[in-house]
Amino acid sequence: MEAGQVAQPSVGTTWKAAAREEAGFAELVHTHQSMVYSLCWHFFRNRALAEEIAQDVFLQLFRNLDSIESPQHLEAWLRRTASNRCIDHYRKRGRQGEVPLDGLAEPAAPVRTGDPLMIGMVRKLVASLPDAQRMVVVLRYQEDLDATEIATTLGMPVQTVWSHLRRAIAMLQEKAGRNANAAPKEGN
Amino acid sequence: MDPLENDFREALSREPAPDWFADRVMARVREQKPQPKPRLGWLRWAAAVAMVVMVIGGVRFDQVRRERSAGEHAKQQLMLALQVTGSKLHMAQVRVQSIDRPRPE
Repeated sequence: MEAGQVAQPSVGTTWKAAAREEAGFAELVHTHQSMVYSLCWHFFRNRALAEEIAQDVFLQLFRNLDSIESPQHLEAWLRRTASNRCIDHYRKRGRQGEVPLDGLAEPAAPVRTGDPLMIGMVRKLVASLPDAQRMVVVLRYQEDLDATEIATTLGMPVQTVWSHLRRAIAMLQEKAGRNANAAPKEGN
Repeated sequence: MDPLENDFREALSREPAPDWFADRVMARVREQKPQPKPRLGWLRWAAAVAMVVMVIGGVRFDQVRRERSAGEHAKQQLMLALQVTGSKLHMAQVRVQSIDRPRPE
């Protein structure tokens, strides 16, 4: 898994010393870019915005390298910073990027695992969730974090995470069901 | 595992970043790096040393000036004392000579 692969420092130097060098930092970016970019992309479903915010996260990392204690801390830091930046940006700029459910493509056939239509629909449904719920769902299913880890990442109580997760799944099931029911009616 | 969870995992799997992503980050990092400033350390030290030399030189100059002035004053006093002594000796000599000279009868 990419997240587990951390830039290996040369013998005799710490990973942080290596990260301060341009090549070492570039390696860190390569190692973690997928995680950071993907968090932003699943949150906004807007490639340009996801790229801009993910770049900002790495720039912030470059400025704060001294505060990073270990490769594990680095990964958690990137995840937390990316999540917070996405939520902050969404709240500051309003809900420009929000995907209305009305615009969702209807599945032409019953969805099954691996179906690109299903994948697209789930992504759009997730993007239509309220910001905190959306980030909880992305961290849960993209990063495979448990509730405690999500709580630490987002700085919220574990109970709140569970509450967000339950509501989000219920909402997604309801929306998916509504869409699935709407498809045959429109077809008639 | 719940099929819905599977669908979520599949739909929310990591998306690869664009190919140019790391290059753009590194370009922005290079812009952020502070430009090397001209090294002014030695100049600061030189200025400090010059200042110390000037202060010590000024104090020493004043000290020498005062010593010279005191020396001149002492010299003048010595000259005056020698003058006074000389005139007194002259007067004493005149008197001694007047005693030794035989008086006209």
